[in-house]
Amino acid sequence: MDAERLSVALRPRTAFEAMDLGVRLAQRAARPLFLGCLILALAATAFSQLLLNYFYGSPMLALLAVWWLKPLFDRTCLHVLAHAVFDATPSLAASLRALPGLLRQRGLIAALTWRRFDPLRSLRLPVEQLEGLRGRPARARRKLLAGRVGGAGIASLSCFAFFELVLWVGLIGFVALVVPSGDEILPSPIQTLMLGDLDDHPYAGAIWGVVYAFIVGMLEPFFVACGFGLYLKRRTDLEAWDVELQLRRVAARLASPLVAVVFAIAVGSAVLAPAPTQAQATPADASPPASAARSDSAEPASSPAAAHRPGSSARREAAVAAAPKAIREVLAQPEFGTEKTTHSLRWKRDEERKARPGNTPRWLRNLVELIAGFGKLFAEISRVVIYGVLAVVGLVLVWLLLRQARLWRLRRLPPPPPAEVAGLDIRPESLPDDIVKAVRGLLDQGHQREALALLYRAALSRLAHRERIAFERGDTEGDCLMRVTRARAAAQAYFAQLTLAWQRVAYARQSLAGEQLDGLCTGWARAFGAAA
Amino acid sequence: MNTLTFAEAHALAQRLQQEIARVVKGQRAVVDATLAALFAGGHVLLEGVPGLGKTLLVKALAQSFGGSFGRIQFTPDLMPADITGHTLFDARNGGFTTRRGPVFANLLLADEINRAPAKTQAALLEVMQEGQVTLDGEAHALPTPFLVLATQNPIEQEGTYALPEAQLDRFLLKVLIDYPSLQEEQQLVAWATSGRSGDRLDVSAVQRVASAEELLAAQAVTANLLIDDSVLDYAVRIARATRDWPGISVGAGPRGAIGLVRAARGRALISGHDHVLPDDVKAVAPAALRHRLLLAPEAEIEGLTVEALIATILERVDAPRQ
Repeated sequence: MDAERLSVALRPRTAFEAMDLGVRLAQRAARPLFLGCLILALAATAFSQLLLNYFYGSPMLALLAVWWLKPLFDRTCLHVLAHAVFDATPSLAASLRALPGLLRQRGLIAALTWRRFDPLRSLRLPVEQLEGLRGRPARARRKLLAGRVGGAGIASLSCFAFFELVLWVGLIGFVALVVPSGDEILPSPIQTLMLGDLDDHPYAGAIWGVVYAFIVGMLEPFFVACGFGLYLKRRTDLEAWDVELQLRRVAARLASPLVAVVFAIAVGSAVLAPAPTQAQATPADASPPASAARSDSAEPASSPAAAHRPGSSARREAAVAAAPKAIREVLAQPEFGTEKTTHSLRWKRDEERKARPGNTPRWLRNLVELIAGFGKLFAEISRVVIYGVLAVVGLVLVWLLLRQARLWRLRRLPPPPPAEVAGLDIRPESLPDDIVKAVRGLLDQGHQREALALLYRAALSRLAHRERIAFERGDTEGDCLMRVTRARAAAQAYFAQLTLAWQRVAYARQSLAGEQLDGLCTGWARAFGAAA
Repeated sequence: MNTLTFAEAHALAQRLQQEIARVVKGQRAVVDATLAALFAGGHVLLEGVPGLGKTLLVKALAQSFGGSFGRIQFTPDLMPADITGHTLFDARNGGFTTRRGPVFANLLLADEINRAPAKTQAALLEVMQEGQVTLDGEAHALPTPFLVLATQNPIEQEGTYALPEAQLDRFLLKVLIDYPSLQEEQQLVAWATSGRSGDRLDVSAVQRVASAEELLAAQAVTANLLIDDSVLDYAVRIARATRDWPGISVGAGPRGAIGLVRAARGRALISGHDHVLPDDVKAVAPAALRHRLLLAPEAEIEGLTVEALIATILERVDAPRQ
């Protein structure tokens, strides 16, 4: 890869122009970029759906896992973009083959854990992946790069989060429009996703997982490209990288050793002049992205290293002597711009006032400074108070949100069965352990009505607590039977038989035959299980 | 008087149902409620817009048991004597002749009862309560069984006289008659327009399946149907709940609880069980109580209805179960 074969025109740009440049770059390397990201997203979706939806039973967690793994997809995208900058766009297969190497790079764990919520992750990713910096230099470098373009980076993240939401809601709305209504075909998309009803429909969760993978595959490359555009802009601003590359091209064109040396010096001064500290602290900064710097052709003949070769000291001295003149000639080139004189009007009195020594009384100056000091103190106190208030408001909002989430969760749960129906205690703990045994005991003592009352009460308890049939306190036997029939409970036939028997004993004062009672006991055990 | 077993009485009820169903298409609940009142020996107030078959139902019922049928069209100028009858001096034989009014029938249809003034309506009070008419100081017993079926139109208010509470309380049930379902109306229209001209009510298809004596015997069976203390208690608790329920200014009195139990017995006979179930009480409660309750003004302002309040009461009052 040749560092001088830059496929983009580097020049000073605004942050948003830089993001536009990133988008154009992404369009140029569209095939490996988007397909690679999509393949990775689909693979992650398949894995997460299998593990979290199929085995663990939580479709929402499966969706969350794919969202969480976005920094992993970003690395592949940046790999393709970094090569595309130097007109060496890798094929899809090559970019996928590079994946193991990218995964082995350090920093992935941090990106997936404590730096997952970094709003500038697309801008800062090249520091680790391309420049290979670690530790304190990496922190300093990340801080430096984020300066002046941090707002644009956050805006980019907000925009893409919004795009993702728009696509997500739009797709849900589209599916809700085209899918026929009714529970028979598909659960309502709005119900499943927007109302958090996904856990009840795991297959719908899988479908939405695939949809989300496509959304990620569509948006994430653009997001990384925007961050990469900002990264290029910052390097251009900080290190005059564009000037360096321009000089290298001129040097290569002239191919003269003397001019090469002059250009090398000019390059060195151009690179070091705007940001000398970081350029000295991190030698890698002065080079193009590390991937390019590490390539075999990334060290042109005009680089500073060439000037230090053995046997070239005489030529170097001559070149140094001729350097000022050569530099002036070089700087006279149109690439370095032209001088421009501008005129503007200013009040003379302002400058006079600034230049004039103060004749204000000392006590007045002190008073002004004191008042200004009070003002600053007040401003600082206000700032602290406002921060405190904001923190309290934030905590209150979080508390309200948590409370509301709990309420929503509680509302989704079916209402708990009542403790009693029409004066009958139907709590399971109020019933004997072995219902049938207790009923037979009462029958043996001749208490037929009490025995049937217990059997009927136990049946209501089972239906209320197990089948979640919502009995009301005013329900008559007929109402209870109607609810059980409507709920299509498995024991509805037996319950109808039991209700009829109970009505005959309770209201018609009739006695039932022994075999009929025996059949009810046996049927109870069959319908509801022997133990309470 | 003949005596009937429960099974015979139930079979009689079923036959009456079938015969009425020959001409009254749909309105099963209304027919059942009317029959329940008939077997319970109570009177029925039917409320519904014109053209829903109220008169047809009464005529079919009279035809089915061969009883006599009287009809009074209540109008603003109707006099009490037009209902009960009167005594006239006959110059030819020099004595007083008593002319009996239309109330002397087994079934009396008081059509649009709220169109007559209160004085005329009150003439029915003694008739409905005592089953007799006093003419010129002499009491004349009405034929048995005796059932008044009064109708009123809920949408026309001009020129009408609302029934006084005392008279409303005389009715065992107030049955709301609503439009039939689509299927029922299709059957009804097909039946009423096939081979018939004009709009006279034709009940010739109804056959006589019982006599007045049999009906009396069935009423006796109904009155003796077993009702458990818990079911009786349930009916009383429902009636009592109406007295202090929010939104109700005047609740049902003891006559309401009595009516509830009588009507529940009638329904039990029709349903075919020889004892009264809580379901019978609950089923007849709206018809037995709705005309005995008076809404509080604030409830009316809030848009609450008697029906909704009764439904709430029935949901909240514990059904009997031990």
